[in-house]
Amino acid sequence: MTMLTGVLLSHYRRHPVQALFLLTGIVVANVLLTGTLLINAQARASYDEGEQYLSVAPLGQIRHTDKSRNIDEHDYVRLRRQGFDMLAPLVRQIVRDENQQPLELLGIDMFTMPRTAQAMNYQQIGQQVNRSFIGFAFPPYQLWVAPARLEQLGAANDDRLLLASGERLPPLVAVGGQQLGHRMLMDIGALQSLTDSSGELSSMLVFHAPAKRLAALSQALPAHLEFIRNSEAPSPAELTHSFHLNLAAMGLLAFVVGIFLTYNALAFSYTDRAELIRKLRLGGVTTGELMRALLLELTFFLLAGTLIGSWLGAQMAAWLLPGVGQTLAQLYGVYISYPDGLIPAGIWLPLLMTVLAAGMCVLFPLRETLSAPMLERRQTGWQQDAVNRRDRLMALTGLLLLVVTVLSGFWATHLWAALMGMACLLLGAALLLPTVLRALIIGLEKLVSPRKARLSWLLADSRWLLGPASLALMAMTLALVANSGLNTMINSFRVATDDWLSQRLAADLYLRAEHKVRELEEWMATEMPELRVSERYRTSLTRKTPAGVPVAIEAVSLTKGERYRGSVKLMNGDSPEAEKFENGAGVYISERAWRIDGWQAGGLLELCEGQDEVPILGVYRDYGNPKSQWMLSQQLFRNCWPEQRAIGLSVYGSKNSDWNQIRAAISDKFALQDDEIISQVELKQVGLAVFDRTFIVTRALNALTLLVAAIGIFCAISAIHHHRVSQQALLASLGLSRRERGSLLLLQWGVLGLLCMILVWPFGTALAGYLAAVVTPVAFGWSFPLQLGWQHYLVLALLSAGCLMVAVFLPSLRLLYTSPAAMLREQNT
Amino acid sequence: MKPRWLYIAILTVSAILLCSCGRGEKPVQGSGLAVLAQHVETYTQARPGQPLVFPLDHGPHPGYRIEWWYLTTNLNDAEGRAYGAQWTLFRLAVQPPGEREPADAWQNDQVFMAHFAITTADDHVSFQRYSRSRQDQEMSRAGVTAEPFSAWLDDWVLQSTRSGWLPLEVKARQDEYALQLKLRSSSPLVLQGEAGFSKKHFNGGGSFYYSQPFLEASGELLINGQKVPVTGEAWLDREWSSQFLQGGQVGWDWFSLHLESGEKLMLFQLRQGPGENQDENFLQGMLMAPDGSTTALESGRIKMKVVQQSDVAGRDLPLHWHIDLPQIKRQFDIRPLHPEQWLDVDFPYWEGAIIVAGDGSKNSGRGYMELTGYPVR
Repeated sequence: MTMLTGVLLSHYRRHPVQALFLLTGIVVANVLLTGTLLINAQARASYDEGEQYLSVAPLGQIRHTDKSRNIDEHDYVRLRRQGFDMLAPLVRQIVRDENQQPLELLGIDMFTMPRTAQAMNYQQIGQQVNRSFIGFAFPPYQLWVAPARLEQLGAANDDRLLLASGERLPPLVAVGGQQLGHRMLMDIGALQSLTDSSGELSSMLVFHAPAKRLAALSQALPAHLEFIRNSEAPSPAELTHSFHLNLAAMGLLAFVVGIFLTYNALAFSYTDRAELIRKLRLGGVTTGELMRALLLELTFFLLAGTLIGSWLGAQMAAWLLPGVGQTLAQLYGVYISYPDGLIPAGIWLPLLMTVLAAGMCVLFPLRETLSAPMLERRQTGWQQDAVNRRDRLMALTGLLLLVVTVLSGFWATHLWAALMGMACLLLGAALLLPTVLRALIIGLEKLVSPRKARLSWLLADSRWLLGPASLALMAMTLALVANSGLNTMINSFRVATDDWLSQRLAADLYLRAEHKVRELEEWMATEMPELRVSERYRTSLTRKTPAGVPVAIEAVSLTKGERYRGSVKLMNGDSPEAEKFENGAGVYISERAWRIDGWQAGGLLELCEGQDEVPILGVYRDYGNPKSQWMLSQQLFRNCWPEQRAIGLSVYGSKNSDWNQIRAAISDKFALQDDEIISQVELKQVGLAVFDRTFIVTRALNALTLLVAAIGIFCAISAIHHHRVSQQALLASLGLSRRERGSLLLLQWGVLGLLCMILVWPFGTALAGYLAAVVTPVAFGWSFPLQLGWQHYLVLALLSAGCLMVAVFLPSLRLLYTSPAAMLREQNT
Repeated sequence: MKPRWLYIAILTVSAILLCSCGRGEKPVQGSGLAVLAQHVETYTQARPGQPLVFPLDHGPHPGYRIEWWYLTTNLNDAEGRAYGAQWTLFRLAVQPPGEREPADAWQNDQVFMAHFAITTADDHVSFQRYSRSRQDQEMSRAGVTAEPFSAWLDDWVLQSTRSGWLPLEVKARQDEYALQLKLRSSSPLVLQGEAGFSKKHFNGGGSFYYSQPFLEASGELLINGQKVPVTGEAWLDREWSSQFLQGGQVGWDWFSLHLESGEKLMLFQLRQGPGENQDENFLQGMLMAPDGSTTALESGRIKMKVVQQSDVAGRDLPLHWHIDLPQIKRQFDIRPLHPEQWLDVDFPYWEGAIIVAGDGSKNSGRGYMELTGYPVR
């Protein structure tokens, strides 16, 4: 067996590039798969561990019963002095840096952290960063960040970030092993001072204590505070489920692309060895022995490829994780930790998947190779009738898959069904490719005059080429469809968000200053009577959906009047219900509340205690909000929650108002920071910037998929060159110069690449439509109209044609520079 | 004096100053002396000849670098079983007052650390807490006021119960352990050293130090959730200084004895490090009578001999001592109530109840011993 394997492997000694391509296919299949699996695993581990503060996880938090309010520090000091030493104060603030990037800051009192955290500080952090906890707690303070976050910020230790408010944060210190993730840790007093929130806490962390003491704590809490155990808080894993599923889907897509390439490489390696295998069989080697030897060889490649792929995947995960963390933080307010080194990669799942997929890949070429008639020397690996049969089968399968996609578009209510439909669409497109390409080439052939011999030959030869090259082209098409689909989807979503923000932001100026609302209102009424000022209210609720599942709901108020009425566009058309809404006879719900949580327009919901159920008058879009939202008229909101303070004000005036001057006057008078007073334009910019950053990882993975496809194409075409020897010999003996042959080669593959785009365009658009109409609504509860653009397709067409030409040109150099006689000789060996 | 502060202070203040000293310095692990020496001049210095003023001096002295309120008690329950309890509040200055404006409401450059421990015949538990002091005492988790006297960190409190200094009460609770005692005394407080200035080194450096050693304690312990009514004796030490260990000193052994004669005896020895001349160990003591009369014991006339070392927390600790005081013609044999009275806190040390056997019944008694600066084997 070993000798036989050696003989078979000797093929790769003559054609080492082919071994490299096979390995590349397997590696490519594994890289993104492992990468996305690891990212998801890391996030899951973070969710399981729960929020940690200096490596200690609290049991829960004490919050104000009105979740939009902070805790008075007196309450905290009183409880500590009653002996509840399991409590630690926490201030949580989001500030904006000079580029309007949000920075999540946590303020803690190092002296109050549980002993495990303190001891760790002295002993580990002190040594690690050459600083002690006192540096953290006393001026000039320190801002602790995860090393990966420091890198993401493009900053170095001791740098001081500049905020939009003009202030500077304390010097940065990278601190490993603290599960800080995207958040930054600083001293509580410094943070309060920075954000002008002295005397206020966001919450109190409750650390481990005997059950009796925890019971005593619950007893001792004043009525306006509540102890929320982590187990009762909304689970971040549930909140982010869709996001992680989408990530996994991208990994799987890359896996499929890689498997296509693996199949391609295997098919070539077997076809090339058909003659050797025939000779071996004539020499007495049994089919069983041959199969075992070939499988042994495949096992070696699978193991090596998976190991390399997993390692690269781990590198990629470490590289992408901060981006994922940023997206999760901005989209869901959920924080994951970044490991300081590589995430330990388990290779079993990718290995199992690769083995199964490769097993299926090898089945067809292996059977064909081993069952070839022994006494008939094989002339060509790509018999046209066999290829036609194969393509017809694939096209049929492709059509079936497309039918499944259409059906799932109608029926999918769960994300997995939506993603399955998407996978069918992608595979369907890829499987249809050879047949469509063949039809297109035949069509072209009819258009070309028979007198143009070279062109006719080129087209006929291209048709033949579809046999060996179709798999590589399919892989490329798959990647291109996915890329263009995602791109169209993201662009459409961005345009929709832009439009929605323009419509939704009805006021010219937004003020976020909970304590100063009354003063501001009074002052503006006398000093700026020409402006219209209204209060804004918001509160957080937990309510059961019609299906009985408790979910977090955000309730917001809408001011009466034409201007604000126009800012909410209902999805079921502008309704005559606006009056009812303004009179408090019903509420609007966000699209998510409808799609995901199951409330229906026309139905009823329980708004607040002591109120009858109110009718749902309409559904509005609420992009970017991971929580479901209910909108109430201000009057109804005040009736429901009379104790709730306004969170801020919105202000509008005439077109001639000088907003810069107004803004400056208000912030001077009330000492408002830049992020407490923000104009409509800035708010929109911030909204769109958040949108763009949210899709950083998606875009990165998308680009990576394309890169993977490009590598695959390069490998596949390089592999094909061996089969092109006879054609080259023929052309050379017909007197075509090297330059002419080179041009023909490039032209041929360029045409093939462009023809592929004919398939990519409709399927990419279909995919974008499917993502916008099925996947995103099911995953996030947001739907948006599709915006078609041609520019991206042009870029993709040029990119794919270029990529193909480079991929053809380099490996074909050898063909062009080999003498015709040598080529003919090679053909006969 | 209670040289216990030295060890804790060195480590804690070293940690504190680690940052104040600037970047790039190695964390203090044994290099504390150098770090401490750098800033020492910026704090108020303890010097002899400065009279103590009460009740003002019961309160904090933020200009000095370190200060503590240190209470140890030897107690018995109704069945005569012996217990020990310790309550300590340390104040540490990060910067001398007035060096910089308070940056925010949370800090005034003063940090408090508290230890609380209970010893039974066969068990020992110890706890620690930290807090910074704030400008607004109302919002401070920790602080000390002179009049009315109150020293607190959360619900760990030592305070006067009436308008004057005495009587006092002490309270602390952690999980299933608690201490609640009334402390009374008809004897006056005792100024240690020279009118309250206690020398720590042959070169003259020292600290302000006074004691209230004649306190009678009664109240209740909570041990593993069980209430135990107790009575006994308590000893309160007050000390503050900015002057720390001199070169070569590595730790100390300190004793407070309640003798059956009604007298109290305080002894300490500051040890030179290995390789140094052990004859340069600095020893001092004070014998105190109930009427307030005192006899100072000088360095050359105190003989302390280790009888036996025990293995505790990976260290060789001298838990059995023979002490000879020829100046007052007394000899004592000192053993721990049990060996395992190790305070497993961030800066660990041995502090525990002891049994004293003397020549003659009046020389027997009980008390507390502290051992610091013993390295892990």
